[in-house]
Amino acid sequence: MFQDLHTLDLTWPFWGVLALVVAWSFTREDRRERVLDGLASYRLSVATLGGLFLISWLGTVAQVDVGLFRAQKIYFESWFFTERVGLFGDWRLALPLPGGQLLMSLLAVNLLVGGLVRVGQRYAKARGTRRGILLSLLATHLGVVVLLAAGIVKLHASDNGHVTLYEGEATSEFVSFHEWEVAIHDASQKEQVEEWIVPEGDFLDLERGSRRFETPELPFDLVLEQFAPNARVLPQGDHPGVAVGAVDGWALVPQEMENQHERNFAGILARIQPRQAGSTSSAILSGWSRFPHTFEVDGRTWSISLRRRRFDLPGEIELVDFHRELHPRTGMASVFRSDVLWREDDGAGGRTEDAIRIAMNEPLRRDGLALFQANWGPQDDPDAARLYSQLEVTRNPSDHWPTAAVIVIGVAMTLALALKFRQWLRQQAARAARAS
Amino acid sequence: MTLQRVLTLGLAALLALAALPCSASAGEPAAPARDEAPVRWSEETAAALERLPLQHGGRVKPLRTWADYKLLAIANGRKVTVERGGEEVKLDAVGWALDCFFDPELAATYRVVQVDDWDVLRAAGVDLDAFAGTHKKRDRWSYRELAPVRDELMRRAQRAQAKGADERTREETQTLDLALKVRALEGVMGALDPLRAGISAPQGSPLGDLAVDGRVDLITILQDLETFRAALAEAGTEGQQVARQVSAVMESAEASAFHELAVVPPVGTVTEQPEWLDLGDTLMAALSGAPSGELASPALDALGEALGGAARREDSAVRAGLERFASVVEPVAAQRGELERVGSEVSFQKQQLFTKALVAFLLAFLLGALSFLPGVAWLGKGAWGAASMGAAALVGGIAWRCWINGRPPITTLYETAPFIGACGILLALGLERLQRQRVALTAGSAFTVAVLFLSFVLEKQDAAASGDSMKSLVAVLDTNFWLSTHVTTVTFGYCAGLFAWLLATVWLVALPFVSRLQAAGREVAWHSSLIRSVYGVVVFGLLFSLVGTILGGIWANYSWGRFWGWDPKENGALVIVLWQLVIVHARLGGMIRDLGLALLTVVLGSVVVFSWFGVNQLGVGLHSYGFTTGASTAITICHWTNAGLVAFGLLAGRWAKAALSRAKALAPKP
Repeated sequence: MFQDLHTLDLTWPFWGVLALVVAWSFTREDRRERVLDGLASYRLSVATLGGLFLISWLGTVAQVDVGLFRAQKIYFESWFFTERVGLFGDWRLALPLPGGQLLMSLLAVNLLVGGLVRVGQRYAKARGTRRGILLSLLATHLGVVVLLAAGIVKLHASDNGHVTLYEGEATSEFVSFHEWEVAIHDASQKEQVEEWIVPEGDFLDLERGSRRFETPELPFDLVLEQFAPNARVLPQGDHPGVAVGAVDGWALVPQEMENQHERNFAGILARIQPRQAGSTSSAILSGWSRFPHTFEVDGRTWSISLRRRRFDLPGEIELVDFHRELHPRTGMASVFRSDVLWREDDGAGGRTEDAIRIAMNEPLRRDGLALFQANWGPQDDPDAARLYSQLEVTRNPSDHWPTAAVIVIGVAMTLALALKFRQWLRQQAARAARAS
Repeated sequence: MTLQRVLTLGLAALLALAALPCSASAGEPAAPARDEAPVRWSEETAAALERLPLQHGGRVKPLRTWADYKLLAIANGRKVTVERGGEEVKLDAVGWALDCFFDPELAATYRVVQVDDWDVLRAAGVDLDAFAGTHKKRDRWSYRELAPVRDELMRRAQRAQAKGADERTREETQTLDLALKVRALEGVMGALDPLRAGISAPQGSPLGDLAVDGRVDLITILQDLETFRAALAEAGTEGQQVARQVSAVMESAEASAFHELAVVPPVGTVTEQPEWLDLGDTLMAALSGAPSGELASPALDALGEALGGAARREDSAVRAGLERFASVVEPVAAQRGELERVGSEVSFQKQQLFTKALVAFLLAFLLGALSFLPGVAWLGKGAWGAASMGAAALVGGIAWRCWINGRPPITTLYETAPFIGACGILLALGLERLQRQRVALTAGSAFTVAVLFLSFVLEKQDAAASGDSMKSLVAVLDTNFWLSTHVTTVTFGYCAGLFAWLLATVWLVALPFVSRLQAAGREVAWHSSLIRSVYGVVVFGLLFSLVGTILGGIWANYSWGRFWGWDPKENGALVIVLWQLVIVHARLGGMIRDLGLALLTVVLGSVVVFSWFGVNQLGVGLHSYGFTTGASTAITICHWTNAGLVAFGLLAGRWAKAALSRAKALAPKP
């Protein structure tokens, strides 16, 4: 019953209900005070912090069984989730619990109302050292709000993927680690290729049912169905699993999900229905496929593929040299670095070219993107003539917010502690004076 | 290939080699007792050996460090008491290494191999009844005693190795552990065997003129390389036979320290030629006349002199050989800038400042505890003095390590322990200065003693796993900025959490006694000031945990492209911060009072242990360089102890409340 609880998206209901409650509370002063007291209360702080503590612990331990990606979705990016608690034997108790999004949203409200509004109100009444302490606490809470905001922006507005290049290769796009897309293009096109993309959000839910996609720019409709998040394409009837679809003697066979999410290769059935003449054709699209499926409609050849989502880079990157050093007489790497050329339009019809070195802990930050040295290969072939380098690419508008937050929090908390300590020393001195 | 995989393959290869019936010299059980008395090594000879530089584990260090960690891994200690020349003597690692190198037959009789449970030996075929009078269940054994079952032990270890770490039984784990110790000992004892080994050279053969009794050793060959090269160039089978024999000698030493002792630096800069030559490379370079081994011939010649001296049992000749060897390699090492800190590391290893600090803290704890007895409060001053001296030794030792390593104080799991000990005692001294009630000082001393004992356990694990506690770092950790900011602040957060746990535990344990005194109308000032200290330390720790955790996120953003990835190690740091925030807000909101604060702080101890060690056991996440195994039992014990403490605290709290209510009810009404 609660199996898919973590897939519920309650963003709008949560903020909507909260807005209604706050609006309703403002109709009477005592009601407003009660609501604000509740939202600002230490009890709510303790409940949300305790809840976050619990899910952090559960989500950490769960990574052994379900892997990081799924644990992240179930425990930390959900509004609610179900924890199965072993009782005795095979008996399990399905316990619905609040997820990370709910707890962090509540904490944000608590911080804003309690940490900022209430502390601000107290500041107005305080004097001397007490004012300094309250101001420092205000700044500390503000820093934590910035951190939470950075997390929300990262979750909803960032892109993440990789550029994997052999020495001498160049590209102007990066590829997602996790997201899929269905891409269609006219296979007869040369050079500049126009693509029609179906993002994964439009077919992830198609494990049952189907969906039609149509655009006047294409002479056919596309129907997607039988999505499997991890699947293999195997000869029909010659496999142990249960196939969800078959085409031309091949079947799409769902597999157990791998803990390491990058190792899951999705599959989906596609039906191409020409709008004019011609019969419907079907294809199995698989994330494993290195080549797209091609078909003809209206005398033109089209290609369709299921692939990792691609993002455009603002320029072109070429891997000139990948370099790796080992600590002497060990198998442990001491240095990884990629020497790359970055080319982009200069805005005056020409192109600029910069030679840049990307190494561990020394990313390239450019045009809102950050490129990090992430991996290399082939690692199982020490004599490989050419090496490839994998650079992780992130586009995160809140990239530097945590740095600002840590400065604010560090300084403010230190100040608060120092002032509190001074206050305590004065109290001790006064007590000693009274005693003497 | 990951480091873990390299280590696994290395281990498998080592055991595969070891499973072969062992070759001559060190591998064979030594002959019965000899007539000759062993050489008495002078201090100068030991000094000449210990300061020899060698490259090992990615860095250049003195042979003293290498020998120290070898002995620690094999014998579970830095010194061993052995029977030598009819008397019992205590040998340090260098004295033991001298015998292993220059008198392996004698070294084979030393009881140095730590066997944790002799059932492992019984399973391998040792008749334990024969040793019942001389050995205990957990004891050290000599190579000579183990040699008869050596091959069976290796076979069993190979079978255990084939299983996953989680699938092995306790006996299999111990078998594997013992096999590695035996193999390490064979390696040290066989380190110079190839140089002693001879090849057959009958009269009339190309090397016949150099031979004694039809054999010629490699050192002799090195002194007349012209004849050797002429022999190699000899047409027909003669030349091939010489080459085959030399290569057989090299192969027989494949798993010995002959190929581990990289003691000859290449001539050239560190950037151009980072790798030193081990004795095998050196021998090959000398025999082939390769340009890479410019120092090879003179270095081996010097070693030959030392070996010749050992054969004649002349300490002075061995010393002269070692000194000549040093005079060959040291100028080149110095020119490459790799000798600068070697001498200092010898002193560091010999001083054992952490052990001295441990003794001081034990004394401080004893004096501090005794000072609570009536009339001897002055002992507290002694406790303060001992703790201060211990703190100076500990902080000095950490600083010295930093200088030698060229790194901030924490780069490995082992290094977290002395650092936490140092921060803990400084925190305790600070609190004591403010409160002057000896509780913080005594508790702080006990805390540091416990943490230092833990550091010795972790150091032994490092010794067994990599033969060093100043290990080379994986590329992502190679940044002194983040190591000195994020790692130190987070670790200080661990320290504050654990120290608060200790103070809370003391407060809880004392609660029944204190409440009895309070019921009798007596004030117990230290108890109430102790709980204030608990809160202060939790808040102080929160600052470091919070800032350290965010700094870790920023580092991750620079290394991996994301601030927060919910990785187990990151979550480990986060749960500490969250629990500290729960405590602080619960206290500020009046939801908990003294008892609640103490109970939640006891739980904080478990949270810190989960973060410090627990997440490393999970074996998942990006922090693979921090994975460890084998601590699960200790961690579980720790959590159950804390659960017991919480239960005790709840009962003690009820009892205290009842006692105070009774006392109030009985008090005369005005």
